[in-house]
Amino acid sequence: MRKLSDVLAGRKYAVLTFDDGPYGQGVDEQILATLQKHHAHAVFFLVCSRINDATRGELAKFENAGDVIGNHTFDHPNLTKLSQPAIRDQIERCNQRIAEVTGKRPGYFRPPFGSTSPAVAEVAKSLGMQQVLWNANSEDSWLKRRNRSKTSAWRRRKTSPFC
Amino acid sequence: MHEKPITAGMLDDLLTQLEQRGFQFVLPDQLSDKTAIN
Repeated sequence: MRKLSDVLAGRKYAVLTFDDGPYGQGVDEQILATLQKHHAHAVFFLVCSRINDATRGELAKFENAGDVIGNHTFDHPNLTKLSQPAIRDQIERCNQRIAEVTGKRPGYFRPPFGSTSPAVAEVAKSLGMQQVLWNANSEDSWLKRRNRSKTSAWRRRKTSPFC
Repeated sequence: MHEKPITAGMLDDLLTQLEQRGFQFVLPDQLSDKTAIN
């Protein structure tokens, strides 16, 4: 519930999330620098097959900046098309990869494409993870070039952001 | 949002717009009403 002082001041709170990293090639650093400029922190949902010798150093940069690392599966499949053991394998292998690099297992999980099901939610819960969806989207998935008017139209989703 | 060059290039503008609309950016454990922007 928002505090009365927040309502009167027009303050609203949001969690920023970034999917599909680590990207490497300076992109992660550019995002971190912009977040710092705005005194903002974010959750980075990583695809663990992207964590390799070239990108593993990015995880320490996220943590050192005060940001949070989340699990976005190992290979970014549509989990609703997988068996329950395969769902568990995708999530747990990613947990292990992140723990191998950071020493900590992530607590947050986001299914690729936001595609979830009771089976996916059950596996996440059994692994002690909180599933995180979203309720506003920058729609940057579809952008191929800079277009402010497109991205300023934040689209609302009806799904519950935290399951 | 996504970790990719196009997002990194426009992020400053996006965050400025959101701040102008009254948003403050927090982590999940700081949030009571569970709003997430992707």
